[in-house]
Amino acid sequence: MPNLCDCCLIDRFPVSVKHLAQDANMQFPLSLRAFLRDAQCPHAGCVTLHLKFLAPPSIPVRTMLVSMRIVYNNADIGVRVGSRENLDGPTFATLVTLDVGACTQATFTAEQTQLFANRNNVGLRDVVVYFVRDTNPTFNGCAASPNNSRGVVLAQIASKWTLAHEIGHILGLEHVDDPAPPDPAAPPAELDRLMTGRGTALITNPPPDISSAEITKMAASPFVTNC
Amino acid sequence: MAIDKVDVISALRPDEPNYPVVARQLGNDAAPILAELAEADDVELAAKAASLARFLTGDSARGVLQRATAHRDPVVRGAAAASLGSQPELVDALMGQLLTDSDVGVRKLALGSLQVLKPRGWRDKVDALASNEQVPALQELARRVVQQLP
Repeated sequence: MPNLCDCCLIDRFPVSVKHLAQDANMQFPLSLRAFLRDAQCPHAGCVTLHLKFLAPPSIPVRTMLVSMRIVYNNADIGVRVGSRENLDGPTFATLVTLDVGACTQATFTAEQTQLFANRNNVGLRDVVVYFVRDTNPTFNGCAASPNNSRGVVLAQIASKWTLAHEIGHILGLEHVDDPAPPDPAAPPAELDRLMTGRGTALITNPPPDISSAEITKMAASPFVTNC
Repeated sequence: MAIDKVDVISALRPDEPNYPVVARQLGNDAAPILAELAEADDVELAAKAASLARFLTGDSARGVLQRATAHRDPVVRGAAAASLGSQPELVDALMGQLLTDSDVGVRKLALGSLQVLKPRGWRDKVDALASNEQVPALQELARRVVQQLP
């Protein structure tokens, strides 16, 4: 079933399809399927997400996508959704609580490997977002994933900015204000930045910023492709 | 350095806390505050407090994990079940109710902790779970754990 929020042009909600059609130089009325198929992303590059649901997120997906697009528009990167899929049934019953270990690129748990193998409809340079209920240990999200099957995990405690933050990690960005307190070496928090390491739920003055250096790095990522 | 609640919450708010480092820096003095957070309605903080308790030393984790084990939200109970895998002295007091929890994620993490610790006196309980478990993957895990328990 096509979903209007999967289009890279949806950076607010609710939206007027008539205005969207006008913005995309398309005639109105039009079918949703035709809009999703034919509307062109005007961005310099696009990141394509595939949403796979083991558990419903607490923050609506459309809110996370719109929040991400607002930030990524500033980097001229479009965010589009390539597919949605529910991962349910006995195979996934025990992965709803996902063991992510230390959440580092160095090692992956057996459960991460098992989950990230589910890549229906996913291109080599696309990114999968797995929505789980919770992780062990407790994280809002985790971007650690095998190099040949990149993806992120989002838990139900994720904030509306966590998706954009974790995909930022996939695109090569690191936290801008690490280490976090109580480390005595902690620098001042940068809570107006997407890549704050102090908690995206604490972001102030939204939308959060990305620096020009970060934009350069994101644009060079293999996961940002032609729209 | 005295630790206050603001310090502890700041340490737990990151999307991806570095639990071992945070536990070392906060120290066991944070345990009473973590225990308070572990029974609060804020599931994010409660679950993160329970996850952090894995790295507390001595008897400091007891109060945190007791409260997390009794939390209404399975995400918090699951975090407690996982942390018990590093707190062997608390297993006899807290693991029983987690192993028979109504939530599949909690049961899985409880089994995982028993698989790590291999404590004595748990074989029959895990065997009973293996017999009654309705989720095939969890039943399989329970059977594997039974084989590993003394």
